[in-house]
Amino acid sequence: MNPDPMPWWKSSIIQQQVVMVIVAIAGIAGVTLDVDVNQAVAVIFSLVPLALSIWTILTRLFKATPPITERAAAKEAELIATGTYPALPMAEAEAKVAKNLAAEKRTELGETTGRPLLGVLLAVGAAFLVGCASFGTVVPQGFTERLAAGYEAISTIRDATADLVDAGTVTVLDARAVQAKADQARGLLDLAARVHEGAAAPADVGQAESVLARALGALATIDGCVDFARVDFSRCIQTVEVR
Amino acid sequence: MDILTALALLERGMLSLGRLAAAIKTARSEGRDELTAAELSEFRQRDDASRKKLEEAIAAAEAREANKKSEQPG
Repeated sequence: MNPDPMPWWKSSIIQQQVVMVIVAIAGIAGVTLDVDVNQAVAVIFSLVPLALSIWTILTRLFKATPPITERAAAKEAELIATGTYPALPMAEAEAKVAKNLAAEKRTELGETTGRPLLGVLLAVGAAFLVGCASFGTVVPQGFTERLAAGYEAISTIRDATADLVDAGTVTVLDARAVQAKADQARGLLDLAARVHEGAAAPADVGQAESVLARALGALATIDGCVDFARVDFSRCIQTVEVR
Repeated sequence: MDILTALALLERGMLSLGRLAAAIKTARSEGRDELTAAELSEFRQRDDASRKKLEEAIAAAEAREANKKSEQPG
């Protein structure tokens, strides 16, 4: 007999993921709220996904994870029946589920601890939403704002590459290529800044804009290579032209 | 790429976005359309620090590779 599936909305993991989806949608939509952004919000912005990931891991480690669909329940029963269910202690626990004795225990584990945690998560999620909304309204427009975005992009590319080199995801050769191309892009940004500062005529401003556009274009390409450390990262980064 | 590296990249991207947004919002709240030279300088200095950090990471990776080679028999 298949174990009774638990209602999906009582699953802590599903609750966590629902909050993540809400937060992600809010970030994409860039909801407009008149809230000032400061470093604290940036920290919250980065800590929420981390907290959720840790909570998900803890949930998997210490809480019962009964199936939430008939199909999953049938699969679980099949695994138990064929004796291929992984670890012995888990197999024993799931055998109880198979005997339909765990429904009350599941409710106890899934609901009583899930609700307070969900409340905390929603509160943090709301702060996160505010952060997302505020970020969504800020678009670099002025010359120096776009220049700053360029410097920040180079810095982020270098930091990300340092992480990838540490993790062994990117080779030394490719990391050196990133460094060299980032240096070239930085040179273009500095040049754009100098031309803009000394601009005496509209033509000078136009030249500064042109150099800035070239730098930002090259940075976008480098960033595309670094993002997700593509399988063809090496070829990608070696073919980037910064000029 | 492992999950921790992915999270680290995500965190960096978000912090970067936050720093830029904070600087721009500060300027606009003060009625400015552009960032000051000092504010721009902070971004340059951060890139200088990142450059140094990447250089150190590359050097450390090279040292690891050299160690591996020296430990290989023959």
